Formats: sequence, C-alpha cells, structure tokens
Amino acid sequence: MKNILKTIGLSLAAMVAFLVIWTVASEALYNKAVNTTIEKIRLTQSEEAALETKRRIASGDPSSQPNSLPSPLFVWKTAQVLAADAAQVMQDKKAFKKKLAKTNEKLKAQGKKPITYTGRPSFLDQIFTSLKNILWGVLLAMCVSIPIGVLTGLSKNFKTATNWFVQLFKPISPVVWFLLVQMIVNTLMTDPEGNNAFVITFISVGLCAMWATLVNTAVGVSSVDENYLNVAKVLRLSVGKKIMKVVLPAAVPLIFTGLRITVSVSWMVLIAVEWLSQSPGLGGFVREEFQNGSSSSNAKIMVAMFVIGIIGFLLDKLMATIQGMVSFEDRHKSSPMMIVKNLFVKKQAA
Amino acid sequence: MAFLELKNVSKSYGVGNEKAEILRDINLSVEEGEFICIIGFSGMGKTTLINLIEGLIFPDSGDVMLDGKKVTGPGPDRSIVFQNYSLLPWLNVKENVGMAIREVFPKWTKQRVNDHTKDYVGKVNLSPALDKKPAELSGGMRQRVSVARALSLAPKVMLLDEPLSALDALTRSNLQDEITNIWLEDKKTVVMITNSVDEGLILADRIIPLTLGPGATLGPEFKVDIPRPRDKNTLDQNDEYKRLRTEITKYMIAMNQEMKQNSNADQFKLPDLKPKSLKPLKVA
Repeated sequence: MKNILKTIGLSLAAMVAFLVIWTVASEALYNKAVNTTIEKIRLTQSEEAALETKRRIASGDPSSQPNSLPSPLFVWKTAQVLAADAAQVMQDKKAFKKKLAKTNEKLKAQGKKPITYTGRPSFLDQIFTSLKNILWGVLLAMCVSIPIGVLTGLSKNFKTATNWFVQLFKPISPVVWFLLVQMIVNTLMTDPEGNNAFVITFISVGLCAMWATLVNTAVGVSSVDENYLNVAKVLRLSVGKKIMKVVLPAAVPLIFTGLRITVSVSWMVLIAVEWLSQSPGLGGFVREEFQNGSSSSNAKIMVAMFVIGIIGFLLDKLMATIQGMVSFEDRHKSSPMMIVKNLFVKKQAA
Repeated sequence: MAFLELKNVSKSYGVGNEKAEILRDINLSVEEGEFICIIGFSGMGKTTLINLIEGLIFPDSGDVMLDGKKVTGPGPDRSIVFQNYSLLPWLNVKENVGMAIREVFPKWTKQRVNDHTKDYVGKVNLSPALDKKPAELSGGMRQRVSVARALSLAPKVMLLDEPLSALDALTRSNLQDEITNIWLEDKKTVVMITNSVDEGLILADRIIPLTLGPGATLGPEFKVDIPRPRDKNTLDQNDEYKRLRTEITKYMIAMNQEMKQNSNADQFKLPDLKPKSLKPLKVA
C-alpha cells in the first residue's frame, strides 16, 4: 500500500514538473514568435503596421496569433473541442442514417448500392481507422513471419538460404517500404473505387514490423529445451507431431515476445506511413493539421501526439498481458491476468 | 538368457584427439522382475548407460538386448524417468500423462485414456493436482508425475535416471517408499541409477557400482538379501544392511583414492622456489 502511494506520488510530482516546464517553455517561445513577427513587419512594412499587428495580437484575435508551441491549457481546451466535435459528427451520422433508412432500403431492393455518410471524419473516426490499419498490419506480419520463422528455426538449409534476405531487408526504413509497396499495389489495383491507401498502409506497416517476430520465432523454434525433445524422442513422435505438440508450444513464449515488439514497431511506423500514403487515420490527421496551419493546428497535433502515446502504451500492456497468459514460466504467475484467473478458480472450488 | 542383457557395450563421444571413452566393456544381465541399482560418482557415464538401454543413443560396439531382441531405438517396452522430470510445462498433469498414453495406445478411446490417466496419477497420490501445471508443483510432485507417466505406459522395463537426486532429503525418503510400494504391486523390471548407497540398499535386489572413467565399466555386484518390506526405522540395526553398507562404501572410497593416486602421477612438479627476502623493495 505504501509502495503504491509512493509510486502515485512520484508520478504525479514528475507530471506537475513536466507541465510547469512545458508552460514556461511555451510562454517563452510564444513571446519570441510575437517579437519576430513584429520586427519582420517593422522592417518590411512600416512602424504603424508593426504597432497595429502588436495591438491585434494583444487583443487575442485568433487569426493573428503566431504559430508556436501551444501551452498545456490550450492543448487541453483543444482536446475538449475535438471531443465535442466527435460527438457532433456521431450525432450527424445517426441522423443521416435515420433520414436515409427508407431510401437505402429501396435502393437495396433495387439491387443498388446504399448511400453512405460522406461527411468529414471526426478525431474519433481517425483513431478507429488507425486501429484498423494496425490490426491488419499486425495480422499480415503474423501470417508472413511466423511460418517463415518456424521454417528458419527448423531447417539449417532454409536458414542459410534466406539469411542474407533477412539481414538485407530488416534495417530498411518505413519510408522505403512504403515506396516499394506503393509501386506494386498501384500497378496491381487499378480500380478507381479501390481503397489503395489502406492496402498500401497495412502492407507497408506489416512488412516493416514483422522482422522481430520472424527472428524471435526462429530462435524459439531452434532452441527448444533438450528435455522436451527427449519426451518427443521417448514417445517416438512423428516429425509433424513433434513440431505441433512439442516444438511450437515450447516456442510460444518467444513468439509472443516477438509479436509484442512487432505491435509497438507497427504503431510507431503506422503514423508515418499514413502520412505518406494519404490514408485517413491519426497520421492523416496530423498531416492535415500540419498543412492547415490554423491557430489551433499545433494544439491539435499535440493532442494527436498524446493520443498516439496513450494508445501505444495500452497496446503494449495488452500484448504484455497476452504474453503473460501464454507463458508457462514461474515468474508470470504474478501477472495481473493470472491473479484474476486464480481468484476465479478459487471461487469456483469454494 | 536374461531378460535385459548388455554384452560388451562400449561408448565414446567425439572423434580423433577429442575422443573420450565413456563406457568400456559393460556386461550386465537383469532378470525379469528384478530391481537393479547402478551406483557411481557423477560424470562417469551413468546417464550414458541408461540412454543406451532406452535406445536414445547406440553403442559403438556390443549389443543391448531386451527379451531376446536387439534394442534399435526408444520403444513402448521401456519407460524412462529423467532426473529433471522432463514434463511439458504448457500441459497440466492430466495432459502430460494423457498425451504419452495416447501415443503408446493410439487405439484407445478418449474415456479409456482418461480413466487410465486418473488411475496412475492416483497411484502416486496426486489426484488433487490433476489440473495443475508443472510450474505450480513442487520438485517431488513433478517427479511423481514423471513416474506416473512412465508407469502408465505399461512398460516391461522401467529406467530411472537419478530420479530422486534433485530432491530434498524428506521428499526423497517419501518417494523411495512410494517407488517401493508401486514396484511391489506388479514387480516390473527396474534399472535405477543413483548416487546414494542407502537408497540402493532400501530399494534394490542388487547394487552394481560403475567404476571410475574414462572407460568406466561395471564393478563387482553386491546382492542385497534384506527381506521386504524394508522398514527404514529399523533398517540401520539390520546386520546385513550394516555389512553391505560398509562394504560398498569402502569399495567406492578405495576406487576414488585409486583415481586420485593415478591422477597424481600425471601432475607436474612445481619448482622449489623461495623469495630471497620478504622485505619490500626500496625504490630509489
């Protein structure tokens, strides 16, 4: 109990210190930006114009504010604005659906496509788009890297044959993966209605993030405990059964360690790839705000930054929990999921 | 011809200069229903010997014969219990035992495998732990699961590779009793490796020492003619027990000293040097 209080106390203290430093820094940067703007006008235009600008900035007119690091308070207000906007868009969507329910039914009966909502996506929609992108990316990474990893771990020849390939492609930056995938996908998918941006995004993310799982799977499969292999030998298991019943289960903890790294790399890479591929999502949101350059753009980018951080943290916690569940080593007995599971089991027994 | 027979079995590891001879000219015959203990110092090839009988490795020369047939690999007629349990940690007790049974008796129905599993886990008094994972069990309980798994396969020969060496004294003593009871029930042929003379005297019909390597072979056998059941509390007053214990211990110690003397002969003599003075040097 004392430890928990200490943890909370120290975290809160650090958070307050962070907010204070941020506030002071944003204040200083704002003042510098204001001075630079006024000086520039004084030099290029006239003294009167400079004074006029100074007056306008001081009056708080949003259209004349210089763009610099927003203060924590402003970011918080912007987050509230975004939340309110998301609620509004959700209502609009509901209203739209209700309004068009009858029309859509008619269209359906005629075998035509129903009319869907085409208004701008809210911040919440962008988050869900990004989650969908990363889900597909991670699934692709799993489907490609686990079978290849198992083969690499089992067969020395396969490992020798493909080693150069892995070493060569592992360090490639997401930007280059994106360009490569784009070349191929844009040639293959010529349908103007097709969702090329989505396909390019999730394939790039998957290819970029799959290497950790591939390497971990290979290591896990090739380093199975001698004792487990002895069981397979003594029971005279066939090769297939040996892999399915002994080698793969023994490698599961390492495979999931790899997947955890893959998920966190995917999330990091996703934002950049969405930016490049013009896909909707948090990366797209950040790109739009960057190009928009309105007085609240920087604050919106900051909100997106925090949301990205929080979701990344939650994804990692989720993967850590799954990792704890599939692991059979003693140290994971104290993982949160195991504690909950044990409580449940005890209740049942009683 | 004996039930289990090793004839002039030799085994080396490595090649060329690295070649290390582990076992040389091992001759052993075990009758059906006999309990044999092989006793020896660690690192002398006891595990190699049991792996040869199990068929996990093969002799360089000589034959391992079981029931008149040459051993060509692991088989359901032999069950082995490893020192480090060798349970699959992602399966619970029931699944660990059940998986082995399904492999050896592929035609059995699910129900039959299930009943058989419960029977044998019950035999080692672990029924309450059927659904537990190995990580949730103590060392002694894990070894009991391993014994249950080996027994459930209805082998002709049980091979026990130092099954109790990793356990604490109390657990070890309990498990010795359990192994005796199970053995008395259906008198399977057992070959057990151990490093404890007392353990051999409590469990075995014959104790055979493994001499010191390299090129270890089997020493003279000691017949244990102590009536069963052997009660641990009164065993140390039994004259036969006392005599055998002293004799085997003497044999083992003599063997150990012999090796030390032999290895002394190879040692380099250190030059007889003394420092001129122990006073610190004066620095100019």
